[in-house]
Amino acid sequence: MSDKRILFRLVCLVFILLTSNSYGQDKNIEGIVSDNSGIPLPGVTVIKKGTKIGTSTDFGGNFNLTANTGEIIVFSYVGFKTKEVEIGDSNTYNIFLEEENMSLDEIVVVGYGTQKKSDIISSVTSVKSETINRVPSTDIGDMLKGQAAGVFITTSDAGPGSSSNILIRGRSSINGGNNPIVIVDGVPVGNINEVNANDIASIEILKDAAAQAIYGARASNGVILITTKRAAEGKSSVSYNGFYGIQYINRNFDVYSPEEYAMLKREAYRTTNGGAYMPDEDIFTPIELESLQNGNFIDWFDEVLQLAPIQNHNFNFSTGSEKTKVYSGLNYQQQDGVVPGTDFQRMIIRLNIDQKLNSWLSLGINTNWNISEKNDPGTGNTLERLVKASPLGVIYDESGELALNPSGFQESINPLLDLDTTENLLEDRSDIMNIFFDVKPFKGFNYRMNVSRRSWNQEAFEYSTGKSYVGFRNGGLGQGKVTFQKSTEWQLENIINYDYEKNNHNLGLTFVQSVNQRRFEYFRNKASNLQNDILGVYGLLSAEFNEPLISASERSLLSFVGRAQYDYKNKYYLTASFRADGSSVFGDNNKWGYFPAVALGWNIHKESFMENLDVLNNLKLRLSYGSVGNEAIGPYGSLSTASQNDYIFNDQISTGYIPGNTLPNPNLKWETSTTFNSAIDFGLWNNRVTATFEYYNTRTKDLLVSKTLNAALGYTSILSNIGEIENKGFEFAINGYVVDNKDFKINAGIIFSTNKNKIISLYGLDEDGDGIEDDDVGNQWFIGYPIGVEYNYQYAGIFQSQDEIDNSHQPDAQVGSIRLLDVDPNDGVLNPDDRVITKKDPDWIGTFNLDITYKNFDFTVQATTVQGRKMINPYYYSYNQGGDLRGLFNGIKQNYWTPENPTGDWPRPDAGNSPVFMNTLGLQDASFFRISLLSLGYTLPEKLTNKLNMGSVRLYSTARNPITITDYKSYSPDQNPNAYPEQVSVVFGLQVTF
Amino acid sequence: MNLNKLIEMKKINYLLGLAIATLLFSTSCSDLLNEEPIDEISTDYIYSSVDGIEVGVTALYNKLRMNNASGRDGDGFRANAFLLIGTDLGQMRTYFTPYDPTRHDATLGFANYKWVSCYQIIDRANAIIAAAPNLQQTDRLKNLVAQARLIRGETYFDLVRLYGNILLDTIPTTADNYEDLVEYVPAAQEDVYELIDSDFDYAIENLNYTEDFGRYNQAVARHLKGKSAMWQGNWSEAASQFDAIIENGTYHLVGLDEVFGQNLNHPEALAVYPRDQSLGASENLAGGGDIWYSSFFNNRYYELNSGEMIPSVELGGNSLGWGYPNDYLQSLYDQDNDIRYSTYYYSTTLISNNPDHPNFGNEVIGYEDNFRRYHWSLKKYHDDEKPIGSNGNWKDYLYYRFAETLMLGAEAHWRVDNESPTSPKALEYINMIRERAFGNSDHNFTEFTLETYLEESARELAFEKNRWYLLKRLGLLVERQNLHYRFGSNTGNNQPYPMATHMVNWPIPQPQLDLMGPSFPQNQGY
Repeated sequence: MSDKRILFRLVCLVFILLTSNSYGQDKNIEGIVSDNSGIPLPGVTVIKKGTKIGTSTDFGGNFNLTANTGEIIVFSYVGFKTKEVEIGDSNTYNIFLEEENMSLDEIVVVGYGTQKKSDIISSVTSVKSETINRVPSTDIGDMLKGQAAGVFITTSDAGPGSSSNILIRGRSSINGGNNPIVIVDGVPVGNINEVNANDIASIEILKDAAAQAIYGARASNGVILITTKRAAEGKSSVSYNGFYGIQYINRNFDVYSPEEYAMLKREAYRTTNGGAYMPDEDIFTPIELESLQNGNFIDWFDEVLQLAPIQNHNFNFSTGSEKTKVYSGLNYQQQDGVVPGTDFQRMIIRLNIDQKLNSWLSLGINTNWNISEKNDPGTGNTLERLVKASPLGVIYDESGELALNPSGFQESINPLLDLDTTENLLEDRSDIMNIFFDVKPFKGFNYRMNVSRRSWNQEAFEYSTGKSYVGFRNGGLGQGKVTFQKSTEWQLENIINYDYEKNNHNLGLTFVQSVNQRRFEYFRNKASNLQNDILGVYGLLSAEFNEPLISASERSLLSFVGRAQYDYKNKYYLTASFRADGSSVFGDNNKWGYFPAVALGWNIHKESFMENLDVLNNLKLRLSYGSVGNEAIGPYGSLSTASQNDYIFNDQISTGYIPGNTLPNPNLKWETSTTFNSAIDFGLWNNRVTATFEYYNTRTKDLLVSKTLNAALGYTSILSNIGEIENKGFEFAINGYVVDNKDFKINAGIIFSTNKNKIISLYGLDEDGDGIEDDDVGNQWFIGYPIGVEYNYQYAGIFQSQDEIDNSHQPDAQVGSIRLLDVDPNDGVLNPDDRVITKKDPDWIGTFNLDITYKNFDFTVQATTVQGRKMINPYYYSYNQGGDLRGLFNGIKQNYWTPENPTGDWPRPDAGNSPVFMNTLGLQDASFFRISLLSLGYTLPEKLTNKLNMGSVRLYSTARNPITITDYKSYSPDQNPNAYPEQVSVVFGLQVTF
Repeated sequence: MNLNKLIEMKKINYLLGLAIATLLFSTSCSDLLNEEPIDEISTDYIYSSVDGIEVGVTALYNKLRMNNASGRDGDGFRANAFLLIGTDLGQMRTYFTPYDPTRHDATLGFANYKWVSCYQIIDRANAIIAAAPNLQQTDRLKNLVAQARLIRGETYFDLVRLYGNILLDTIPTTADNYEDLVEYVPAAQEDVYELIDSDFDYAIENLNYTEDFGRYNQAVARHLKGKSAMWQGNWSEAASQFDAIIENGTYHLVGLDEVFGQNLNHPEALAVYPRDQSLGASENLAGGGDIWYSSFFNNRYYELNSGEMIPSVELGGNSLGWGYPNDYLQSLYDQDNDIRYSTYYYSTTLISNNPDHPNFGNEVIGYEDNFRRYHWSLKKYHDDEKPIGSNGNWKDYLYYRFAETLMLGAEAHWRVDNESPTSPKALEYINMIRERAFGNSDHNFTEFTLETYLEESARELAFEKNRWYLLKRLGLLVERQNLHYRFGSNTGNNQPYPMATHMVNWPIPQPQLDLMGPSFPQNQGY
């Protein structure tokens, strides 16, 4: 056969595959498929049992099929229970499908496989696509906030295109990082936002070791499994989902008003002047004086912050035949920042293809292409200057240009300056290319070869003109920087699944072998002293100084996994798994880590003694125990390497290398977390109310810790495996249909979780011989306390008189300065023992969710709260943040002490120096209660949409974070005022399905 | 079995075979787990060849520059600024408060910085010195080891003078020995000085008087050996070391305008820490980061309310005005005849340089009693090429100079001559300084006393790190600081800021005490 003919046959074959259709039979039957309330269902698959012959319903729910009497027709539709009907004499069949809304038979994705929800015996929280997509955000982390028990998400930088921090069940590592690993369709990705939220079918969060162990090496911070949408057989659909809205800032603090600021300055100089006020001329600049006289002040917040639009548009196309299924998603997001000059846009394209090649071989391709562009011209500095810039002065100088120092005061920089004179463009691109082959040679057996390459590239272009602040500093010359970063990750996995079923015994076996290689490359060229700004960053060549920097690193992971899942009658469950991982970053003798896990489950409600309890339709007990690892240290951590320290001899560069501050440790090994998890699941009144109680205890040992060394050794730290940390917590989730009528539904849910973090052991030393293991005071790690406590003196008031000082443990203090808590009043002196340990982690976090549907209206309100959390706010005390009352900067308004205001609880301002012990004031309560989501939607009546030839149309309006109640003085209780403020957004959206 | 099925089975077998092959391939591929650094060099390279030693010694200088002349705001800068200004010659306006009883304690950040930085340099020098015996003994190797030993000796010398009680360790730290049980106890002072002197002796023997500009040389070694001898009261040894430098002739006084001029590669400079923006402008690169001392000691004349002044490079450009030479120092100068007064300091007379001001070109009227805006300012760190809007610049930093050799030489001879006011060598050396300062011999001393010496040393070497150590060695630091040191922002509030007697020693940093355990005591008074 010639090649051409083979090609021709192949083309024909493909054509046939793609167009395969039903062929005629004896009798013509028809009917309407609708849901229980009588609403017709379009797109229901109608198929003759045991064949692939069938059709699907049209927009009116109508179907038309030829069949023989006695044949069985199967009606299936996503979200509804499948129904089988035998063809009798009638030619018309009106079918009602029962909704699966409370079903336990939904499929949940677990590591290297799927399971029915009723078969899950490890700790897995599923979050549905609809749940996250109702949050108008460009960050999936933000969308996940409050949706899963035990998952604590904070947003420290809320700039356009930023990502939140996700913490699953507490910090289990001190230095190894605490970010969970995100796996999209079996491929680890670098950032959860590489995928489009709208392409997500479901998100599964694996929380206990039994669920995570199969990902052993990288799983100790939890695993987030993302499954993207795929096309269904016999269904084609086109849909649009998008919103447009505005964002604004909710500022929870005041700065000093112009008059108050002037007074602060006078008081600060008065203190340095021995208590006598100085003439205004000596402390204010001429510009400030003029401003004070004519009353022309500046409200910097008005000048800088703005309302900003946000929009998001999604188009999905999906079509599936028996052999070929294609899903594609297209997403465009655009967000302007509340800080001018900041913006972000992103486009994500996804294409998922499944192709059956023959009865035993199929092929799948998942691709994801993400490009984004972000402008972020130095907003950190701008936001800081916004708080501390003097309200006295002029925004523009006499020549009409932005004044560098609006108050004429060298320290006070114009907050608008950088926005106008600097640029920082970040262009990101990430690609996921994933191909897999499935081989099913006999029943129950599946071999999959999964190959993927993921890459992330970032090109950053920064430029500051000669008129920018740094340009001014540099003699009016521009400077710029080009940074190229690239990371690539290859993964090859061989996965074998085998399911065996006999006499109520169900056995599932999984074997995986995996190779993973990551490479990171970095190149940066910094250029300074550009004579002109004509070409901006593209003029680097003409810079006086160019300084390139290049670096690269590589790491590999080699893994073998085995898992057996067994159950008897879906009643008694046993799962055991084992993973071996070899990582390149560890010392020669410790490359391999071994992570076993075992889980037990009992579906109690299936026991005969429970049969009479009609109320209780589900009761399940789950127990698991297992280990996972963390290899999250940088490459070369176990090698002795030297860093560059060059010098000049005879005006020439001479290359120098010498070991850095960290002593290499050739014995580095895996950090291992072992979790015990227990849970009870309930379902009442046919799952109208469902609840889960869960308790876990995770012990992490061999912590990868940068241990502080006595500096006399010549090194300040060594990365080593020491100690043990415990995270234990309680999670509770309840969900119920309070009202469940055809036209009126109320669903309410509560999620509650606590986590207690505790250092159990550090170096195992008891040098002071008190019988209790010693703390590491230098690193502020204390046995029995969480990681990340504040260890400092504690503010106890302001000294009011010399008498009070003389009788205190601070005999050198001044009246009006901070009095500290005297922990041991008997010793009479202020010493390190007077420092106090304060926990900062939240006591508990919670979410309350309420969904109401009334006829075509739907309404959602979600509230989240974090209680008992503390944070350090440098705007309360630090010079650089205008918090130290020196009168050089404006700052967050406080009630400071003066001889005339003895009730002031902040120390006396001092122009010469920051008041001593001022940093004790930074520790503040950052608990909050927040209405995080308010949404109202309206779905157009079926009649109308049918006329318009559309599937469904929903209009909605959503407000994100409209109300926050907190004592923490910032834009959001998650962040300090120099971080990009978290916005409140109000959007209007449209969902259409054709 | 029909043919198709057979083919299918074969295909399956083939695929399974492929899978198994991949499995085996990956297993045998466990050299995948061997790590080869891509962008860093292995430390073995440094210690296994003379070329490697050279690379290591170069890096030592980089660390030394950061330690002794840190560039910009931070604990390193503060540590060195403290030593420059915390004497009877200085006064602070803001930024930090030397000797503040509520801050100058075991938590003092800059005391910790210095301790950590010095021991890092010592350990890296130890590693180089320890590696050398295993290599071929060439002159080049000896020269490099001599530089490492001189740096180690100098660093120990600083440590022992700053903290008093210190640890002594010549064994390089490795991953194998860092956990060896050591009881941390202060070393005996004799042992510390024995090591310091042996390092200096080795350096004197193996270094030339002239080495590459930027490297330490024999003159530095002798200069330091002389200082060390003075701390041990060995006056004749000190005198002989200083004499050797003076008589050798390589180093001598230069014209006053050259001493702190733009080019520091001159015969008065024994040691200079070079910086150069064009050779990589960050601390770990050759060029180093920018350095702030020029701005630190200079007033913000351009902030005068009258608007007569604008920033100019000749006046030091942008400045900070955090600390200044004080009235006592000013009173020591013969302002009309001592050329140093107009060379080492900016003029107190300002000529309006703002062309938009009616008083342009004439002497400023609007002087203010506001030290931020106007004060007598130090010019020793002035840089003609400093960017006008910048706090920092990249001028080389003059660290040891011949004038100090002369001053110390004069004192050493005076001591050798039983503190005779007419000690001939003492008078000869100090008058070399005097003659240059006045341009003639009319102002030469005929008597050498402690007071004349302290005053002349102040006039010549103020704000060069000589003073603090000198007064401490003479036991005069507390007394003289309490007499003359000031803190304040105008003449009204410029007050004495007394130091407590225990502050002659820096505190052993609390974090280090915590790490060393109870066997190492805190210095008395802290």
